[in-house]
Amino acid sequence: MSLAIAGMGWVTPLGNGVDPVWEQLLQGYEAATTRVSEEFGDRSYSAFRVPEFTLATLGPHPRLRRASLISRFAAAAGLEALQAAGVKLDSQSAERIALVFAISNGGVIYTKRFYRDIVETGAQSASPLLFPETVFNAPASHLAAILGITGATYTLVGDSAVGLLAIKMADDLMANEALDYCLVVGAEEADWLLCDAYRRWRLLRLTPPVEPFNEKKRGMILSEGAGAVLLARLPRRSAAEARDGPVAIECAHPGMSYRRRPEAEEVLKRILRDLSQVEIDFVISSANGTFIDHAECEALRQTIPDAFVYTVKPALGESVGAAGLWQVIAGTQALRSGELPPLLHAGPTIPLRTSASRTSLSGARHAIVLSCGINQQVAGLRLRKSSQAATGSELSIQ
Amino acid sequence: MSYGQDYYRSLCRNGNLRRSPTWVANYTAQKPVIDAQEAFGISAPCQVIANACASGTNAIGHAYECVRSGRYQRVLTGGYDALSELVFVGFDSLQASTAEKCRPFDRDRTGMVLGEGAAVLALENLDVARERGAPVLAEIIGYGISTDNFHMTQPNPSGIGPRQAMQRALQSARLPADKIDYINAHGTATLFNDAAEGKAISELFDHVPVSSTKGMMGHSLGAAGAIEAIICLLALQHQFLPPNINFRAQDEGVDLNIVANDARPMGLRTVLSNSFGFGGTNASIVIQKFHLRQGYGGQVGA
Repeated sequence: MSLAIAGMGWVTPLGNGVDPVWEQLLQGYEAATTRVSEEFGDRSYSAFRVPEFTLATLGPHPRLRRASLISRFAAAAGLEALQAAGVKLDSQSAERIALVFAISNGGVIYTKRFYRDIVETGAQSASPLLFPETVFNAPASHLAAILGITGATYTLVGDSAVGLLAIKMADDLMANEALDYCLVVGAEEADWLLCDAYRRWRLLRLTPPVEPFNEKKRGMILSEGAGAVLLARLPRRSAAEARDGPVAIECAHPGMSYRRRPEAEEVLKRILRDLSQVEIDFVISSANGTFIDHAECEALRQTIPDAFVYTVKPALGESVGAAGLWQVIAGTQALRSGELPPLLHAGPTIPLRTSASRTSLSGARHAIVLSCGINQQVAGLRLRKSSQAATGSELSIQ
Repeated sequence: MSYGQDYYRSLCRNGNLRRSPTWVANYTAQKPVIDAQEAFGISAPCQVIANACASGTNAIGHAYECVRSGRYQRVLTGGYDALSELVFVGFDSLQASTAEKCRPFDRDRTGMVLGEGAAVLALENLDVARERGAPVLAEIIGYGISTDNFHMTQPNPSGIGPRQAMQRALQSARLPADKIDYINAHGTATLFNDAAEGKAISELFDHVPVSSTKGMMGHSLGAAGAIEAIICLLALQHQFLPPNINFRAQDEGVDLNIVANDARPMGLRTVLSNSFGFGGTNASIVIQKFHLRQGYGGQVGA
């Protein structure tokens, strides 16, 4: 079953809004990092944070008064996706839309605050206001309440592949004719504690840049924000869908897992082979400067060497739970606009078809979004631009 | 959760962080599933649903829909949770847990007692299961999910969330309410849950036997729905009503047929199991005793 991408929403360290963020990426901009520190740690780290002004337009919904950043990011992205699709929910339609929420680390800021009080002062100081925000499905609950969704709401937890797994889940849910739409949202918030944990895991570098496909695997920089994609069955068309262009998720792979890092390459190759039954014009990779880059590079080189490869992570960072949605948005925008942004901080010896400058993809019809998670999960999907919108098959570099 | 706690405590106290990479790598929610896959020697797609205390039933319900749609032949599905300081103190801070006995649906109930554990069910397309001669323990025939946007930790007192989940499960099973022989309630023994769930059950059903088995095993949160689904399977298999222990007096204003304190023999054909969670997420599944018959269309064996 193909699912139309009827609307999208994007909250990133480069600001919010799909078109403005995309334009900045096309121009080769990279978000600025912020130093984050903590009172009990002598280390500080770099993180890509969402600028404060980004959430200024978010309405004063009661659920957001004390909600964590992750919930605010999700609300802003979800509302933008529905607005872009021209979808307004009433009591009837609210039962016919499902919400699938992708998350990895969850509400870590409030969880840390809640547990810090317990560690420092004792159980008697635990806050009943903070505890509900520590559960993984708190952001999804807030978003469902804001949108008025009364049907199916799911929170999926995983590594940076979870966003694509959430889209696969949406694909499965949409097999039920009782649903008109499925809103898939991925969100994450950055915090010193996460930076420290990933650093001890030897996956994080202390300062930018993120260097994709670099043999030295210097590590990633954590990021935060949200991405939202509203999926609809293809025959259903809204005004905004027509505006956004007919890009569809043609095939969502159910995903796989690898046990040890060296096995990731083989798993990626199997997924790429499943998804590349048609000619693939470009791939939105999940390369983030860690060990997964080598696995992705080898799998891509051996499976679809002619496809262009782009990763958004040098510009926006590794947003883990939100990352898969960001990749889908980037892939959709590249198909719609017929352009890929310049790949930042990539060396000249990468054995893949990449470009350090803006690349025209005027006839591109098929793209793969590939996500190799840092904790054993792998997922992928194929995007398709409808044939009437495609004008040719040539690819060129400006 | 305990890995995360160990890590944070060590950080705060400048303790030994030599094991921290292991703590971090094992903290992630999907790790137990991937470890289990490795132990079983399988490599299948996996999804980890984290819908708070409804997770176990959501996982079974979603797996059921995946098999029913024909997209998947077999799904291993279930729930797991382990006690942790953070969660224990959290429920205490909400005054949702009790130091006394857990008394679901009792007039004088004082809250939940936390538990832990895991349960896994193997769901399979019924025709495929029969072809390979698998023993079919029961059929899952319906699933309903709803979202109650009333409050992060409290259900709408009207019971609309549980009622919608149960109604949708009945619709999915294409059954009227009077075909349900027993309900394994979420029944946490908190004031708010049992009042809302009791109201919803009494409005939808006519004196169906109801019990919450949390008085015996505690509330195992993400595992609860899966553990209680297996209790339902055993009830169907052995034809008995599981007891709602520690029950003394009916709550005023709620007219429920509670299976008070002792198990009872009962001819059961179709049962319903409820799970509700933080964030207003509600899930119900309908399970039926397996009978050899013609025409299996769309049913899923467990």
